[in-house]
Formats: sequence, structure tokens, C-alpha cells
Amino acid sequence: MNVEAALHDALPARDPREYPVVIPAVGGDLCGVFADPGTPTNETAVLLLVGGGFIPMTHRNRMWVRLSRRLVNHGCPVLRFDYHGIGESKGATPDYVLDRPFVEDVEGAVQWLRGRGVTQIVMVGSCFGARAILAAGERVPELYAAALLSPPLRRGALGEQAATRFAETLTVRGYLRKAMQGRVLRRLRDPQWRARYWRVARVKLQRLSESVSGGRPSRKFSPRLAWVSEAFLRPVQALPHRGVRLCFMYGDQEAHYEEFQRAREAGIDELFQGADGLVEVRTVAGVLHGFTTCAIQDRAIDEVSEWILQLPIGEGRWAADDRANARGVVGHA
Amino acid sequence: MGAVVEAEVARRVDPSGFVEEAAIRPTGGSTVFEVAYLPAAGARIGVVICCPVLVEQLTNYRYEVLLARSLASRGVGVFRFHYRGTGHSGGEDSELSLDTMVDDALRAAERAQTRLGVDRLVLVGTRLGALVAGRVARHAPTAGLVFWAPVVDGARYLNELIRARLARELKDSRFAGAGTSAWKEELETRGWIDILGYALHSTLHRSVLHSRLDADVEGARIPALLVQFGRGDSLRPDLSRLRNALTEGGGRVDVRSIREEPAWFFPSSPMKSAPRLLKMTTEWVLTLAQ
Repeated sequence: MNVEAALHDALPARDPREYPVVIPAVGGDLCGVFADPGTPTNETAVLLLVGGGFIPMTHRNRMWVRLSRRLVNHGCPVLRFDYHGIGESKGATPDYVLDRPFVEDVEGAVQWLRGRGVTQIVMVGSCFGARAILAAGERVPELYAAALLSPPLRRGALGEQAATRFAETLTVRGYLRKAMQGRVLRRLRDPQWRARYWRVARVKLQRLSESVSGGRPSRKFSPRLAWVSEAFLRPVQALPHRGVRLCFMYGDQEAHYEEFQRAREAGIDELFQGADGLVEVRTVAGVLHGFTTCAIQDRAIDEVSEWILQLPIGEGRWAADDRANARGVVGHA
Repeated sequence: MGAVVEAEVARRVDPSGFVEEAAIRPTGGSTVFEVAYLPAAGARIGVVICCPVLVEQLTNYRYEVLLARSLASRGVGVFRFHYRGTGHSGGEDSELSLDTMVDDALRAAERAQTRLGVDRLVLVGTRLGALVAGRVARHAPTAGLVFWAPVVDGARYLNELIRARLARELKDSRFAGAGTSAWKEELETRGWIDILGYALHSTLHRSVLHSRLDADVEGARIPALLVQFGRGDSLRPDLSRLRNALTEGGGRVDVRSIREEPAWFFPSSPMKSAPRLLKMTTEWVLTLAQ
């Protein structure tokens, strides 16, 4: 079916509109904005999640506002919301730990959508938000598809990438050698540097403690993927086997994509076996993570909206299945 | 988006007694996102918060929400809004200018008086929002002004934006061969430049370039709280000029220092001094309510 014709068929019965909503959740009331297409029934909805870095639900440069408005004009209901402690929501300032994303917040948003009769949910999340989708996805039977933008693969807290890299590449002797450098010793007088060095040391100590206790790596996955968080691997394996479509999207120049490539070399694709056609990997030129240029934001919005609009949703189809293959798809798992 | 038929209000009752109401309302051919904080026993005085724009809107977002809640829990009505072309409001960022921001803030001041049931307002402005608050103070019944790290000189602010862009380009190795003044040509030919993932359009650039907060508030005779951020002890020259302009007409200016420089252009971690900032601002506003 022609995309434009399909979209025309899906035109809303009345003007789309947006309004703020209160979403009850475990960590306190969350605030969201619902983009309502005005169609008589909204069985499928899109849920947008921002990443870490204390970014409110608009996302950087209103990315999620722009994406919501584009999708709602095509008949898709869209909910965006602030995590607890962020933006308009209630709750204390959160810590962004990749293995402990805000599942209760996602569940609150899902529950709100259920209350509106939504039975199928497409989630879109960037970085930490993508990890929240993976973590919550196992508990959300309505999850139909997810666009995961620059999802990190590791465990640990956001902002600890350097510490994590050191922990994996340096031996204890290497740490001590670095610590004894004059520059490092001088910087120890500065409280900010002290805090930074302590973070680096703490991550290494955690890794050492894990290797001594045998707590990690998991026996469930290949030892070659031991550096990848099990909280990432488990849903990435389980969701497609449940029929959930996953679209990984990275910038080809970013560290998270290097990690993802490394994981592919280590055999992560084996997890998708038996779920043919449900997992897709897209790359865009440059760095997607952080969305620090208008051009990359526009590209991300185009890619995500195109991917969503070509999904076979409900009784109808909004676009041909092979449309994604025709443009921009660099790899299929 | 088509025209909004009517505004639906999201209402939340805070355990401390005030009600928070958020809506996206049709205004001037577009829509404006607004949040009103209504104290249980009625407001003694109202506060309108004029937020910054571009990436600083994100950096300051939570502090404005927390300030509003802090004030509302102490009996002060508060009104927050997003300028058209920003946040959840309608419109495009290409239409944003200092004039449209001031128009929106004036409308917000009127709405605040109606919604909060007050006749006196305190205007709070952070960074470029301070420039907006300073201009609105001429036309609204202003009982006080609060400036957090205000932009006093529009040209200097624009230079800071350009410097932040160059710093990002250097970090991302996107600087190669472009030269430090490539942005000027880009702004002239394309009509906008990318500042850390935000489009700074020529309309906003032009409207801010020659603006001066000290000139706008000169002789205003309005009590003001001026909050300087940073490690230095002495008042910076631009803020000193602002203080002098405010005191010239006989107005009282209280200066406070927060010994921390928030990363205005690079939102990452919350400001450690935020509780102190919120407390000092709340208490200062309460002195006007008495």
C-alpha cells in the first residue's frame, strides 16, 4: 500500500490536540503531555522516554514535542512524560544507574495509557530511556515495538563511561602507576578531581569484588558478553521472542555504537535467532547520542517517525513492510 | 497541529495544600503551556517566572518548578509558562524573538493576576528570562524583581553562546577549517545557526543584540533580588551596572552570591546549591508579601 494513501486513510476525525496529564506512579505523581489525534479509538499509542542528564520530557530542542506533533498529525496518539524528580513531576532527584532504570515510572505511564483503552504500545527511548524500555518491557504485555536510540550496553551509572573503560582495560598495577603520577597527586588537592578519582577507583573495586565473589558474569550468556549488562541482554533476547519488534539506532561515530559492534562480534546476534525480521539495526552518520546538533535531531525524528509509520499496527497497515529495507537500514539481525 | 478546541487542565493537589494546574491554552493564534500554583488559602502575592531559552531552559527547568512549589507551599501564588516557539507551547522557534517573549510574559502576567487573584506581582527571570522580566516590569504591576544570573548585555550573551558553540565544535572535532567567525556567514545566509543543538535564528539574534537590562530597569524603583553565581567574591561589572541602575531611582537591591557556576549550556548534574538558592529566593519574596 502507498504510504501517503495509507496515511490519508488514517486521518483523524477531528483536530489533534495536546494536553497535560497527571500520571500516578510509585515515586510520586508524574506529569505528562498527551497528544490526542482525535480519532474515535486509540488502541495503539506511542510512549516517548527521554534519556538521563536531568532532561525534561520536551527532550533537547523540543525533540519529543516535534516528534509527538508529527506522529499525532498522522493519527498516532503519543504520550511523553517526565521521570520522577525531573521537570514537572514530583519526587526526589534521581540517580541514573543503567541497571536500575525507572521501571515504575514507565509502568505508571503504561497504566495511564491502559486507562484510555490502549492495548498496543510502541515505545521510543534514548540512552537511559532505551534501557528503561528494555527493563520495563518484560513487565508490559502491551509492548508491541520499541525504537532504542543509542542504548548503552554496560552497567553502572551514567557519567561513569571513563571509569568503566579504565576498569576493563587497566590492571591494578596500571591503576597504581597512574595514581602515582605527579599530575594526579597534585589534582588530589582539588575536591572535584578527588571525587572524580574516587569514582574511577570505586568502579574498579566493584569489578574486582564481582570477579572474586563470582557474582558476574552470568552463566546464561556467552562469557564473551560478560562485559555487557545482563539487564540489557535478557530483554534483548526475550522481547523479540515474544513478538516485540526492536529497532536499535546509533550514530556510526559514537562510543555506544562501538560497544554494540563489539557485542555483535561477541555473538549478541545469536540472541535474536528465531525472531527473524523483528530486530533491526539502523545507523546514521555522526553521533546520535546526546543529540547535540539540530541536524542529528532532525535525522533522528525522521528515522523514528518513518519506522513507526511503517509498522503494521492493529487492523490496518500504515506502510509497506519493505519500506524500511529500502532506506537507511544498514543491518538486520 | 490543528487548532486546539479547548484546554484540558491537569490538576494535582499537593500534600502541603496548594493546587497545581497545568494546561496548554490557545493564545494569539497559537498555544501556550502554563502552570498555575494556587495556595489553599488564596495568594497574598503572585509570582510570574520568566524562563530562559535555548539549552538554558533545560538547565533551569527543575529549579523553576521547585521554586514555584516552595513559594506556593508558603502562600504565594505562582504562574509559569513557556514562550511560543519553546517547550510545550505552540509555534516555531524561528518566530521567537525578545519581543514575542515579552508579549507572552505580559499575557502571562495578566493571566496570573486573574488565575491567582492578586493585584501585585513579583517577576522572576533567569538568564535571558531576566531581560524579559525587566521589560515586563515597565507594564505590569510589579512589586519586586528577582534575577538569577541575569543577562545584562545582550551582545555579551550572544558571544557566550557563540563561545559555547566553538567549544563544542572543538571537542567534537567539527571545527576543521571553518574559522571562528563562520557562524556570522551562516547566520546571514541560512538565517539560523546551531548552538549546542538549538537553532538561534536571526530574529532572536537581532532582537537580543542591542538589548540592555540595566537600561530597561533604570530608575524603576522596584525592590530587586540579584543573585550572582560563581566563585568570585566581588560583584561582576555588568551586575554592578544593573544594581546601580536599579538603585538610581531609589529602589532597594539585595545582592546574594551562590558560590557555584551552573553549567548553563551543558545540563548534566544538578546544582548543589539549589536548596540554598530556593530558600533565599522564597524568603525574599515572602518579605514583599507582608
